[in-house]
Amino acid sequence: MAPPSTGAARRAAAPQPRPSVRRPPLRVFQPEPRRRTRRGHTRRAPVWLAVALIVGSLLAVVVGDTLVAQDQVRLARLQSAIGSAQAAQKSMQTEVAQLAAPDRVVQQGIALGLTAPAQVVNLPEVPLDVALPVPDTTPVAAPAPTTSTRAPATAAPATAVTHAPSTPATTTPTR
Amino acid sequence: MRLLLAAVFTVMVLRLVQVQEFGNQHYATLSRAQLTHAVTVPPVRGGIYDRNGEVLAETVTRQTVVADPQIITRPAAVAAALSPLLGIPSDTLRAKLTGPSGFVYLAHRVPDAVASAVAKLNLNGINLVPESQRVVPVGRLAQPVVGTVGWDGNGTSGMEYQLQSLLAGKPGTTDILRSPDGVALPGGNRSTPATPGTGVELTLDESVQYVAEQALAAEIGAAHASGGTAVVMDVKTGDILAMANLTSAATTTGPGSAAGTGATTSPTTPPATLTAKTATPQDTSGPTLVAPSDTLPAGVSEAPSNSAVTQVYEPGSVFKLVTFSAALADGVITPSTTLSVPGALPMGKYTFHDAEQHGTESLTATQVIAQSSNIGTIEVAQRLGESRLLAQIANLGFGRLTGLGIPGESQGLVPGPTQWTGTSIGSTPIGQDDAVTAQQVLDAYNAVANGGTFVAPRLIRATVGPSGAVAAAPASPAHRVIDPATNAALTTMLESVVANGTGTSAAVDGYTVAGKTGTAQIPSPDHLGYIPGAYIGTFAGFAPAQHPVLSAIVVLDRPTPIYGGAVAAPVFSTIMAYALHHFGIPTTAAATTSASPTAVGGAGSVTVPAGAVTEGP
Repeated sequence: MAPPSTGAARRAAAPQPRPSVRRPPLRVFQPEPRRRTRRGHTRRAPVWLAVALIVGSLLAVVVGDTLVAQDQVRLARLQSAIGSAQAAQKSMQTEVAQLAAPDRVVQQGIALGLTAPAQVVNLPEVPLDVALPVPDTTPVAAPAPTTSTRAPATAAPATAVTHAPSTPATTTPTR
Repeated sequence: MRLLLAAVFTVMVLRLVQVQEFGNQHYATLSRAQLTHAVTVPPVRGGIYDRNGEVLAETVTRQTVVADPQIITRPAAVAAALSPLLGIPSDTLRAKLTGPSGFVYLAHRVPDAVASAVAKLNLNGINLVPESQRVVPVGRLAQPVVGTVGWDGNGTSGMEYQLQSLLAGKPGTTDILRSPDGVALPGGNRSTPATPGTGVELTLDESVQYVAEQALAAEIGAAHASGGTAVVMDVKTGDILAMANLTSAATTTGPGSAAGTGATTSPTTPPATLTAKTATPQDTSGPTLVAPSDTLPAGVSEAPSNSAVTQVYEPGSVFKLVTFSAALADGVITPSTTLSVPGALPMGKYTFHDAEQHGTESLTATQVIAQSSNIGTIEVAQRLGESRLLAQIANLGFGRLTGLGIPGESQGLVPGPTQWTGTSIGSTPIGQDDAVTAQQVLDAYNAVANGGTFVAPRLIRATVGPSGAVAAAPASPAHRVIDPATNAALTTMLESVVANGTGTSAAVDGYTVAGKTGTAQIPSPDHLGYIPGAYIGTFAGFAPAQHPVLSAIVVLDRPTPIYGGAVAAPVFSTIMAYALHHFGIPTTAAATTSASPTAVGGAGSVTVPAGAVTEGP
């Protein structure tokens, strides 16, 4: 800005002293002083309550979602674990089947030294509705009793009785 | 101005209401369609088990190792780490890991231990993807019956193919949300679970099957046969306990294939060495993981198809059962009827002979069948007549499917009245004009074993649901085809075949056996006679003779010696001896043995378990 060039202008530009008295506010009429009344508090309470409910609801939804998500994750993990366990069970089942396969059993038997019999001896059938033959109870020559107690002549020592079937067991082939 | 703003605002509000309230479903569907990707969840295929629940085929989940080369920064180090685990050269892996693709397979269906080791390496860009694999833990045992699956997991042969719809189950779907640039989004896990396939419990008995295959394979090797078939059947229920179909490695076609078609394949390689074993390498990458097995002798392998029902052959003398059953039923002969049997019988331009040259003999009907006299049988058939013979052929199940439902099953070829020629009364009664399957022959003998009641064969014993619930399959239908008196006489006549006829090698120590041998020529492919020197040896029978529990048939293709009594009957004896003991069938020792003349319980006193073979020990 250029400096003033005349005296009048210089005067006009000189600073004026500010009035010390504060100018009253420009109002048409003086408003009533604000008063904090109970009625005002009561009027705002529903607003705060509504805000609190909204915020609380949102938080509850967030918490609920979080819990549901956690459960979903847990459920997914459990389902995955079940799937893995089922797969492992199937795998082990087939492994057992492989180990129990006739071919492997035979190979294991051969490895253990088992051999196929040269001949098979079939024991004769003994029907259960036919009485067994009377066992041979002839006592072996026993030393003379040293006491006066005598065993009955027809009684054989229990350990000496052999229940032979009507067909004597034989190791010769039946054919 | 205000009005204009209000109008615009009102329009926007109305449009918003329209979109949000009335068109929301439409836009939500469009949005979901853009983000949702449906993934098909394959079902777990049902297993196949034997009659005791032993696994014959099962589907398991294996891990496949895959890589994303675009995010692997050090392919050489990754390849070096994976190489010893996967058993793949490091250079091969490195070449895959440096390729331009974003997805490469490194190893299919690795064992669980390998998958765990790979996962523990935690290599960036290396992932495991689950894949299903069919596992056969018993090696190739009964493979022609059980069948195989292809790369797509569907059955390609055997029961795997026949029961595809039952075993396969139904696939499910899972919806996943993914942004247009491929980022997975939460939610959208709506899914339809896959329905697992239904398992099947076969009537086969794993142990009897193994013994049948072993005995048959040994004889194929010893007799230099090009193949063979052995089937064991439960007399009462028709359950097939073993069904062995083997072929010689020198044969390019299945056993019996030459029988019906006259193919000229013959074993030209040196005899198979039975002591040498072949171990099948464990191939983990194929659609089916077959357990390593050295079950069969070298030079013998499982047939490519179930020859017992798919291949036909001229049965030869085992077919005489039809002639004699009809003749006995009609009363034209009795077991003691005496026949004058000449050494040759001219008929038209053909002359029929017996296997051994002889002069005119006087034979009873029992002797005719015991010695397997062709001419004697023809004389019986001439007394019987064409129509009655044809009726009995149909009556015993020849010329129609067995009901097993096996794909490719042949119903055979039997002459009808229109194909009957002047020499048919000579060739048909001795099994020369007919083409039958081994199973059909066994069905006929099983009918005699079952007291004259024909029972259809059965291979499926039960179904096993995904929860493990077992549902028994319906029993096989049965109907009487031979009256009891005729059947008893016929059984006695068949006993004489094993006691003092052509089938003495079929005898089983401790048991009486009834059956019939057969030695048939193989027709020439040009339909002009037979292939010189090519025969099929057969023995079909049952035991114990008077209280039958098991019936069986053994067929050997092009054996040396050629006679069924020499090659098939011993195999029958081996299989039947094991099976009778396996199922705990009481012996009938007194009837056939001289070493125990005072044995308790002679013939006729055997207590056979009621019904049939139900459980193994």
